[in-house]
Amino acid sequence: MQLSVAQKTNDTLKLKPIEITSQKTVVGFSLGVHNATSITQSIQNNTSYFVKQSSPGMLATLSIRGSTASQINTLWQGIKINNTMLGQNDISLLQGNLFGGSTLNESAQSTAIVGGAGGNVTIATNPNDTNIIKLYAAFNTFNNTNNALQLRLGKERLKSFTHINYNYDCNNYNFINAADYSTPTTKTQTNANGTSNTMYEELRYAYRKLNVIASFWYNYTQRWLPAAVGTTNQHETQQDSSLRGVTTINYNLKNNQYLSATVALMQEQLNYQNKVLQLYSTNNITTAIGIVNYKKTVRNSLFNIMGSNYKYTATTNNYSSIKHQYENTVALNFSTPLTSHTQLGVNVTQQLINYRYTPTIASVAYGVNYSTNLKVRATVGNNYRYPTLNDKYWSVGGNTNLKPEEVMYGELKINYRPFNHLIKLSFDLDPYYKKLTNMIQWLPSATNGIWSPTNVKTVAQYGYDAHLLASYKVGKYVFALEEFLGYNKSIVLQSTTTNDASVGRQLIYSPIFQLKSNISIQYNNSITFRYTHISTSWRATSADNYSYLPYYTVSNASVEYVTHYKQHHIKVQCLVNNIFNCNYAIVAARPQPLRNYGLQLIYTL
Amino acid sequence: MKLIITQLLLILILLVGCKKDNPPVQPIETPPITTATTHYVLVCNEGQFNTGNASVSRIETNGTSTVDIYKAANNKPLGDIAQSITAINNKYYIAVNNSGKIEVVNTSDFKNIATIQGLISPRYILRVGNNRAYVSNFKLTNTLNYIQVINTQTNVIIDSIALDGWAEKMVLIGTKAYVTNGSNKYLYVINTSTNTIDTTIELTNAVTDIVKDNSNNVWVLCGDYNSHPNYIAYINTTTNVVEQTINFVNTSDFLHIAYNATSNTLFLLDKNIYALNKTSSLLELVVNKGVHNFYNFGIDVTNQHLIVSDAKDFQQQGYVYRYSLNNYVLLDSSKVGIGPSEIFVKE
Repeated sequence: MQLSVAQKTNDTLKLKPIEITSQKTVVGFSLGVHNATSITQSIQNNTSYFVKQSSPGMLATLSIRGSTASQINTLWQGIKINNTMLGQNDISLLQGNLFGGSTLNESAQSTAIVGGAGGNVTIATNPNDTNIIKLYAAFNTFNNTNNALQLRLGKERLKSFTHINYNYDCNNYNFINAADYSTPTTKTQTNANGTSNTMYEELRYAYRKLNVIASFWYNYTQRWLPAAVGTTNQHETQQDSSLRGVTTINYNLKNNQYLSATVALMQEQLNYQNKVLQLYSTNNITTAIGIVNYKKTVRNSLFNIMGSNYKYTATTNNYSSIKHQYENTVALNFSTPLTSHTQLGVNVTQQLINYRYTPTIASVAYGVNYSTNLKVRATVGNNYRYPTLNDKYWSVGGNTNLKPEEVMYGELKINYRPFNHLIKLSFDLDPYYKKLTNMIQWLPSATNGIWSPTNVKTVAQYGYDAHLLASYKVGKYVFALEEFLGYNKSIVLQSTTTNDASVGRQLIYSPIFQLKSNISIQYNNSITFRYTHISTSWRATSADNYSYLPYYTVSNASVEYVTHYKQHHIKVQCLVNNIFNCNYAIVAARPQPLRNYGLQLIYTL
Repeated sequence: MKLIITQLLLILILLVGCKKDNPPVQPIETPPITTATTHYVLVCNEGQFNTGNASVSRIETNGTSTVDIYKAANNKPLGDIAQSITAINNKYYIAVNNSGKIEVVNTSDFKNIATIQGLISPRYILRVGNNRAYVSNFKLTNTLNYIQVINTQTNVIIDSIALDGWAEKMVLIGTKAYVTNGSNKYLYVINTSTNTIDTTIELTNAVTDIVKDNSNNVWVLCGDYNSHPNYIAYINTTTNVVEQTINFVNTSDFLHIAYNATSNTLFLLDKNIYALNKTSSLLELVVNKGVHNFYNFGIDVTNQHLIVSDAKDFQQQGYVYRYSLNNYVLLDSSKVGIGPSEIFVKE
């Protein structure tokens, strides 16, 4: 039995056989699994991790095991698409009906692409989707509509996948106005509408040992940003536009050798306006990327070397001049079976950023298959998160002397599958410990009060993720239960500022536990009822934890009906979100919607 | 065997998950008893932007503090970014900047008696007549803005005075209001009888702070981080002429200026606190910031105390430190809300 214990990227995951990976599937809602209508909601429902989103359709950032959003890489076609100025990625801009094959990796381990000290999200189209035509329409009681068309053309040698998407979000949902403290009233959200257009094209060409994939992705999103409760409307708007193109050429050489080359060009723009204060921010980033990857397998051992170059060019009215960043990376990766049921993996990565060495990152992983039902993997290593361009160059306050945030970690992954027939039972338990040093925080500077990023804190992050999946098939019925439990302590150990009351406290916006429960009953592969229950513990909003948002539970449900006529398939799904009208907020002063309804229609051929 | 392993794993999780992890408990506060002669200090705590956790803290003469007196008295939060507090006719007017409102409370029990809405972005309030007050408003750029005039009897907006950019601190000399402008280099002199701009005094940098001295002339602090080095200017309010400027070369990022009427001394805050010798133009370091993040300060004239707010990292409750103005020795410290800034002394 062979294990791949040191591989994380999509390419390496293709190596067979793979028995243990730390990747968790973020189920694309186009499959209609679980109660999710977007990638944001899918992560909220189907992982033990925390999505910080002020209200539907607004900026959404992910926290895995207490990480900050900028410690998480978002990968597409093997390239990092984080906004280099902000460091993070707004996952609300990722279309759920397009990226139905997305996955999430919670490990601090990273092979070729550094910076994912908090894990990564790999967005991808659903490889199992083979429909020639897919039409998608969704509506909800916020007066939001989402329409998409997908076409798959071509045969073995040349294939084309096209996706066109148009969203109009009014987001005029009802919420409890928490500013009316003694007599809370129901209010309707205003100034929260937005539109989003997406075009996506993926061409695949295969000829003998050659395989070429060319992808183009355009997105334009315009959003009006509603005022926080109890604040005046500043008439804020934001536009995000991006055009990304990537081409990868894969070639199978002799003797189990494999070579690939990737070139990519990305143009991103983020503009913000505040019409009351007359603030205007324009931000443009152009990214040119080149990657070469070589792999060789000998028996069951794998050797992989990857070299990449990222060149970022940022033009913004927030910097004193145009800024460039060059990232050159070499990553070595080796894994080999030690015995018939154990395997060892080693990764070493070195990066130069603007021609300066960054910390070398390395990890060692050891996996054991105790039986066909019980598998254990242990990983130790380090990683880092390089400061963002805003951290370094923001005018005024940018700090070019910042050190990277560094993480030392140890992770254990236990997978136990005692039953796998009519009754299926799968259980994962992943304890971990991470020590984060040089955590970057914007503070008023000691000399002149200007806010400036500083390496301030040392943080211990520890806990576990647990996942339980059980299903039972009896006659035409399938009963399923899936539970995600995340327990995370992110405790500040040290601070460079004396008398810092955050020492010994939980990091802000980092819930200690989250429980997501999904129950489904399916009849005859045709009608499915699903119920999702989400519990999230208190989240500190101040570093001393005296200000916090309270614990909440939210329940969602859906009924889905699928019918077929020859090769035509129609799926109808009705959703009820926040069934019990829970008044809760994920971000302070940003109450979430009360009970609301949705309808999804999918036609496939 | 399978069941045993499953059960062991579930028990392990339950054991860890059963541990209580509650947030720290903040004591429930009750508003302190106040009489007409009670001497205390109020601190405006800005709170975190867009989080709605602004507050007002009250510090007694013995150093004990009520962290959020507004919430204790009214059972509701104050709003978003508490900017300043002004006493007018037995009422406190609290400018809550990002909520675009002024909360009016009784000085005796801090109970809310009115909320003035419809303000642009209120910063400071200046009483200019029996029933009138000016409200300065923030605007980052040099475009049309207004001083809004409120009736302090009815607590409604009754007039506005157009000016460019960011109107900030104000002082009243006779019937003239001197209004600083934080986004350009002007000091406006407004005739409070007619609500019109009488004179515009041109300086060479943005004007961010102002104090009135014993001779009823004003000192203004000019320059911010976009236009340093900063300096102070002394303006004769009879002639509206700049009579003296003192440039600071080495320490050039002063945030605030304060005036001790008893000793006729100017103090400047740039993180450290300095006393200015107006004759020699030399600065004397009187309070070293040490580990603190001094954000604002004020003078307790009665007790001759220098009161300094420490905002720490703006993500946790701050402190207010009280120093003797005689020898600048630290007397005590008091815990206050998040982002403590403006100091108001009830003499």
